[in-house]
Amino acid sequence: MHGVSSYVEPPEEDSTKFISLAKDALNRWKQQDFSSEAFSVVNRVLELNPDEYTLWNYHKRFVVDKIERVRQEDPSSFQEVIEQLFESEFNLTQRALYRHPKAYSAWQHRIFLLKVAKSSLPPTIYDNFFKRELEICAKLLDLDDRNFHGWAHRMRVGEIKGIQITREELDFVTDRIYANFSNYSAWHHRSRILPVLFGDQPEEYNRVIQEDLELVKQAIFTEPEDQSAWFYFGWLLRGAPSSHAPVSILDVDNEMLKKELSTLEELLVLEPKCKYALLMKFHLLYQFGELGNAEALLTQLQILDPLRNGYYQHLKEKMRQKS
Amino acid sequence: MSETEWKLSSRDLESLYLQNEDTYPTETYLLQRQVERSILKIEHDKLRGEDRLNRDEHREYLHQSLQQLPTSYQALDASQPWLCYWIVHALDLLGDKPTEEEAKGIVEHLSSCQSPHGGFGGGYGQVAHLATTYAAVCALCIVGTPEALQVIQLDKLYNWILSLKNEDGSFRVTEQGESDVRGLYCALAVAYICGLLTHELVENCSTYISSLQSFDGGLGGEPFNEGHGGYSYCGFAALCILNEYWQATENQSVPHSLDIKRLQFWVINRQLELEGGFQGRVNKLVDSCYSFWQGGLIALIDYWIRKHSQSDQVSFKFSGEDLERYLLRYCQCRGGGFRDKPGKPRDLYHTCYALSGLSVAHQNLKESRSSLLPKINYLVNIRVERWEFAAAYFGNKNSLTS
Repeated sequence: MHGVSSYVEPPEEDSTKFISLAKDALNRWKQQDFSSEAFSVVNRVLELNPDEYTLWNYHKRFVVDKIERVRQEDPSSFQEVIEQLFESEFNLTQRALYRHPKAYSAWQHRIFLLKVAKSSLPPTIYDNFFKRELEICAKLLDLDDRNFHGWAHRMRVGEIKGIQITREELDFVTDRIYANFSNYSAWHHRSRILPVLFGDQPEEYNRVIQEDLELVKQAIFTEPEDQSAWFYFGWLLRGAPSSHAPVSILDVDNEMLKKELSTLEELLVLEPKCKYALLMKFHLLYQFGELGNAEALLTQLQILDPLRNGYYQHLKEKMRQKS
Repeated sequence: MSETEWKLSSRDLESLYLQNEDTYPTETYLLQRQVERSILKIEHDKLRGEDRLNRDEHREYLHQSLQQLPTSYQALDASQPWLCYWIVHALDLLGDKPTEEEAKGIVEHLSSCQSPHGGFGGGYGQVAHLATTYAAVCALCIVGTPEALQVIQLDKLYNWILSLKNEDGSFRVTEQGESDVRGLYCALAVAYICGLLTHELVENCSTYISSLQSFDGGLGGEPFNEGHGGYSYCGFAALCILNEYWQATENQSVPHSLDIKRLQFWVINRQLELEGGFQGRVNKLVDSCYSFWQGGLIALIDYWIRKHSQSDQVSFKFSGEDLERYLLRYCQCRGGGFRDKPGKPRDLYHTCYALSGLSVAHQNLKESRSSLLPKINYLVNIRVERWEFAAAYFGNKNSLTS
């Protein structure tokens, strides 16, 4: 994968060996064979190929059965035994994910484990699991900061635990953005958590948006060709609406927009060919009703960005219909 | 605005690179510049021949692959139906097909992947999975004989798909598996092909799809995920399938709250100028497979707009010429097959989706031309003829006409 380093590589098997191992493992699943011998076969296959989803179901069945069994047969050592069980399951998926950071079934298995842990272990124990989950995500995002599984997992962990987004999460995202302004996944994550964090506090939200405007402008002036900052900037100018609420609670007034228009003009002096600045300026001029100037921008854009020629042409026609 | 500006193939790619060279060196940019340099290297290669589709080499690679798959494919042990689909669909786009013996082997193999409880898994003895079911059903449609389609046990298939449905409208990809839009798309696509769409099956699907849109307009795999080409295709293609169903049963459009205009703006900005191909997400690298996911998505949006005749929406096609340049000039491998991008090895997945993308590109050229790749049904990514055969076989009244 692009630029992603891997963890420790277990030795490969040749394909004949792998095929016979996989066959063996699937047989053990069919027979519900949970002997230690079976485990070593199944886990070897998962190590080599974490996408072998049937075998993750094998583990799920084992976990559920063991919890039931220990609860009935040996309740006094339940906590100890089951905590150990979860540790070994988490370790298995962790090894899988460090090697294959995008293996759907490995991520899914962790979700399963978190849910089951929550319903069978006391908070003192499962809280640690949840805390560690965020650490694992952070580590995997260090390896690849665009791994959407890692970002999504952070949200899901919160959901399962039943907690709202925290300030810590916002700090985490801010750090990632400062580490790499082009990390679009971080900007996106930010766009998700801000409405949740401040959704019911309009004044606070307005303040945060103003701060974000300054943050995103830093990014834009550092690198005017970077789409990430521009898309985020555009979202802010729309009033930072949550995807699930069609109308923003913010007041995006003409004063604010006029201020941003002058920011764009400042940038265009330095970077006259910046496509996104021109397009953003177009949208603002259009909103202010300055159609003549707006159309000139579209003509410029058609030359600068020929791949989107049809889109700009359409905007022109739409404008002409209005005037 | 002069017409000559439109033809990017005559545009100075070098100047595009130099314009961007002096950028703040985040890791993202270093990777992007690396790809651009690899493209320019090919451009400057005096031994580079004309852009042409190396049909014979690709056919040979595909037929060979049917016989024997290299070790690296052990990673796809849980995806065997995909291998069948990638190969037969690629052959089909090249106007070729498996030999009678190969076809027999494919049908037998896929049959062995079918679960006694319905649906197809990654291989013999594996639990059924929606993605592999989609691949298996499509591959059987492409083989295109009644014997092939008879393999599919329809009743069990329907019940199994229904058993995976969640309350929020999404589908788990397998029992106890993850839920994301791939599951929903594969469930609906298979039901669409096999004539199994019902009210029960489609309930809440449109709501789920609408919940996938992020602030930039793209669709993520799950609610709260960032816009991504593969998932955007899945979500929108699924919406189009739902629309077909609603038109046929309720004589109206499927209700939804997707901002299609914003989705369109997002996707048309995924085509990269210098490379000509598509990226999967904002600030990621070009990849030949997105030729289909993103290119096909643009085509579907275009179709939707024409069908709904909303004058407010843009009807816009992308640059087929530039996409073709990316695929033919930079992604074809010696000995056949396509790769993700220069520097990567070929593989069957990219071969399938590069060719699918090339077919889309051929439907989006400024000037008409002969010897184009055959047309695809964009909803399910099989040739129109295979779709029609399957529709007739399964007694489908919903068929998408382009």
